[in-house]
Amino acid sequence: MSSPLLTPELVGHLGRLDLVARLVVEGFLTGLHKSPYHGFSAEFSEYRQYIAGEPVSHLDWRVYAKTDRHYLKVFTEETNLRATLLLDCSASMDFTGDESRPTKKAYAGYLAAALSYLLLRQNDAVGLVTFDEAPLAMVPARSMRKQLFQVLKVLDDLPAGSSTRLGKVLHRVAERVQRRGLILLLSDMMDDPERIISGLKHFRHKGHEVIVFQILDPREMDLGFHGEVEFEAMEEPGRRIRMEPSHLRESYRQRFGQWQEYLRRECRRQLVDLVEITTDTPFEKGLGAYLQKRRRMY
Amino acid sequence: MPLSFLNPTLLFGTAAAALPIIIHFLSRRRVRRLPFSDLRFLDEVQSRQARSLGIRRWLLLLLRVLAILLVALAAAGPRYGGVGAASGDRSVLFVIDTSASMGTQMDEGTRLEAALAACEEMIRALPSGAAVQVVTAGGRTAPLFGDWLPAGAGAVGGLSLVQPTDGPWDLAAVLREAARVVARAPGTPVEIVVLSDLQETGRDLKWEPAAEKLNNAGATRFLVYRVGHEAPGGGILAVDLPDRAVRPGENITLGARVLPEFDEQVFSLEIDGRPVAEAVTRGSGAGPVAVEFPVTVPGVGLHRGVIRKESDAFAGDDSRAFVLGVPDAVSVLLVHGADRPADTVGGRGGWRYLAQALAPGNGPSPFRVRPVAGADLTTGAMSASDLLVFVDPEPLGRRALEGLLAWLDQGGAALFLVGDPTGAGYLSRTLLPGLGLPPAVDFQAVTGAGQHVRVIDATHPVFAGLDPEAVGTFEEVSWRRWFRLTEGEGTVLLTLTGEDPVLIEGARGEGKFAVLPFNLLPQGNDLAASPMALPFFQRLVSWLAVPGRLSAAVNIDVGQEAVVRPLPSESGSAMEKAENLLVTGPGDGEKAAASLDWQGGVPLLRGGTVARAGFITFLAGSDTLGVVAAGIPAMESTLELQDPHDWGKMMQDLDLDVIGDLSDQAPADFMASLGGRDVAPWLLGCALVLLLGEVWLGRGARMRPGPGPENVS
Repeated sequence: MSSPLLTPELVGHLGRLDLVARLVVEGFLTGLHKSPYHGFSAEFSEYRQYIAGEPVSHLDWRVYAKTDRHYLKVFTEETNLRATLLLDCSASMDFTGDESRPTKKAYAGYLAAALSYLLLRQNDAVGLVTFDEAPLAMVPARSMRKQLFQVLKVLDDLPAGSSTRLGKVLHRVAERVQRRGLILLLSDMMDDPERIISGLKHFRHKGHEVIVFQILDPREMDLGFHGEVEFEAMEEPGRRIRMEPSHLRESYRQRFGQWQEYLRRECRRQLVDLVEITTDTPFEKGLGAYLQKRRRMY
Repeated sequence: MPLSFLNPTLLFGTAAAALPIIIHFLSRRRVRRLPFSDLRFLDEVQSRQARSLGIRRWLLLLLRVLAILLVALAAAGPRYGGVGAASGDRSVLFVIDTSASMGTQMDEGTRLEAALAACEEMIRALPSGAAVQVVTAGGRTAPLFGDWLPAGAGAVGGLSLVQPTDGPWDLAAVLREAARVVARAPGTPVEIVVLSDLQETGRDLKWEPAAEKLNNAGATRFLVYRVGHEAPGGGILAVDLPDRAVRPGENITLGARVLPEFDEQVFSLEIDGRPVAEAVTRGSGAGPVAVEFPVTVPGVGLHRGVIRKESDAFAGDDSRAFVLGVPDAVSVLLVHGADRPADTVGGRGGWRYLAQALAPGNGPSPFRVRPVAGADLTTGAMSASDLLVFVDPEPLGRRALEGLLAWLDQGGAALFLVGDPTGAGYLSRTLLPGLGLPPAVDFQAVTGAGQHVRVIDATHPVFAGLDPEAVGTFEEVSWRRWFRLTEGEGTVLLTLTGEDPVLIEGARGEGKFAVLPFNLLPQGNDLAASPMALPFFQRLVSWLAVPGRLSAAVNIDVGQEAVVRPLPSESGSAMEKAENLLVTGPGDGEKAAASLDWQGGVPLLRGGTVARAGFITFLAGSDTLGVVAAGIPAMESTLELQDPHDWGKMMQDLDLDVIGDLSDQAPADFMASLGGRDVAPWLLGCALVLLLGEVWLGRGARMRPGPGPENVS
């Protein structure tokens, strides 16, 4: 588990993304009982003596048969994973229902930085695409150490986006990412769900594994506002709806739930991992989801 | 008023119901503008529910307003259905009808017992802060307590003092007494609860001034509680005694007005405890009928009689007592002018003829005549007489005239024979005006056969029963000199053939008189020589001297004052033993002190207002000085009972505020009827339901922020 100090609210105050990424990931890894990446697709490097209590899965039984001693095989890790982070920068991602919490975009940025750090630490290749209604910036996937700084540089300077055309963007990006790999989509998915699923299908068709981090603000989900409110669409300035949220809360939650259920069902059908995260959720959830996916892949 | 409040001032709290409205509109003005990520779901939901949400919003506001309103109303102590003020500090005057008809037997007890039980329950139902007074009304109308009492055991216990009476329900007396009580009430308006059988009564002119007096005394509101229902029955309404003095051994007809219950109902007469006669009615259901009992007048004295019928639900009027006085002789004081030389043997105006006619010297006579010259007339002599007869009297002095008129006013009787033309001035200027007759006089003198007399009403007691031949003989008498008078308010009993009245009867105060505008001198008429002189004058004097109020035998209704004139033979001893004067009431024979009073020189014994029917005997030691028979007033035998609604309208015609009829309600629910039922718990319950409804409708408004997406997913 991560340090309780590194909540999304506190992380926002750290400022530097590299620091955030390192602290988040190191804290996350420290909390694990065993190395999540130990034994992954690695090449043999050397033997070392078995110490009582260690797992016996990597014991070299041949050596034991010959020498009557216990030796473990140590591998040098090697990867061929290419991960591409797709970060939604549309205007809807600038929403936060509480000033003390980061916006969805900021949360997505932190999570993207942490994932990049973690991927690169595993010698995986990491790339980044930011977009709103069209791709905004693109960092091709590399596994070099300095790739982290390339990614963080883009994340540090995320632009104020406009409206979302997520489905269209996914199709475009799917065409541009040639090598099969892991697609990590960080978005609130606020677009036509059928088009989004269509875009995700495109990735699956190209042989990519896809994890969707759906980042939402808690207030978006429960419409937890009081009194009479005039809501203004962030992606359509000038479009407003006046209402008393308390009167529509139940219906809203019901409709919102239907929408989410649709996404869940379709993602499941397309073998896409959908990770629903709210901006008050610790980052471990996102990282853990990634690692589980990684384990399944290799 | 269907809804009233114990604490009306707390109704200002209903203004709090405006708070939700104010908050509603204030909050409408404080609209926050918030950027939101995506409006698609809001748009969908709002367009789908916009109408129902708008309704729900107003419904929520309505529920909040109503809930606060109901709580505020509940705090003000609401009472529903009350007819009176809801305030706990009330003054309630109970008027209990104790009249004779309230003795009518019902399934369980009498009407009065039912009224008392109802009154007791009503008093018990009153809050402790209430003040109570009770007025009993029947014969004598008076408050039961010295002053207003707090509602409670004391007032309830006081009801045991209420006694039934045989008197009448007198609404005017009730209103007057209520006015006195209301004037001392600790608080107004005073609620007056009338517990009565509402027996039908005729309208009385005394009601309006009494009602005005009550309205002037303070604000009042009447409630009526009718006890009992109409019950069949009959009764003896009145006894008609001979309208003249009777003599021992005389055969008379004693009448009675009765209300028969069925055809051929037998009514029996007892005198001095012995059955004397019976009478059978013919027909029934047509109201009161007259029955007659042939009676031989018993000996001299005061005789107690009773007329009875078989008993029914109202036993009070199934027997009626009366007292028959048989005097040993009628005491006649014959006042005449001083004889003059020109007067013949008959004396001035022929007074000696009259004295001889009334009391012949050769035998017993029912009259005891005492001649006295006008100049010697004293009030003492007057008071000892049953009748004064004036024959051409000399002008009376002022004091004598005033004494005469006062004596008449008190119930005395007088006969005037005036035929002396020299007395015309005195007659027209003094005597006739004093008697209330027109002063015009014209002396008539004719020659020859003169004029004859005619009897106007042969059924009049003076002429009733006379043989036609005797009447014919009487009508042959010639008149030659007389005064022509005008009857005015008087009644003419005899006229001459020229239509001039020669016998005029009249009344003054309680007394009565007759004027004969002639005297008995032979030059004026032949009456003194006629065989009809004796029966005519004896009958006339007997009729005039009938025992009225100035008698030792008096028949009255319950509710009237028992007053008798002591028996002449005993009056002296009565006055000597004034401190020993006693009166015994009917029923238990309990003795009480009687008072001696003098009016117009006449001694009168007073025994107070009679409350029960029966005989009231005045005693001085062992001497009986007089007897009063009190009967239940005829109106108490009325079978019809008024509907409370009609009674209310009748009272409203008197400008009295009648606010309710409690007859159909249990007396224990009196407070609920008067002040209404406490509906505060209901209002609070309704408020709670409204609040729950408000919570249910607007539960979203009080929801905590929803669960995180991990829970949703």
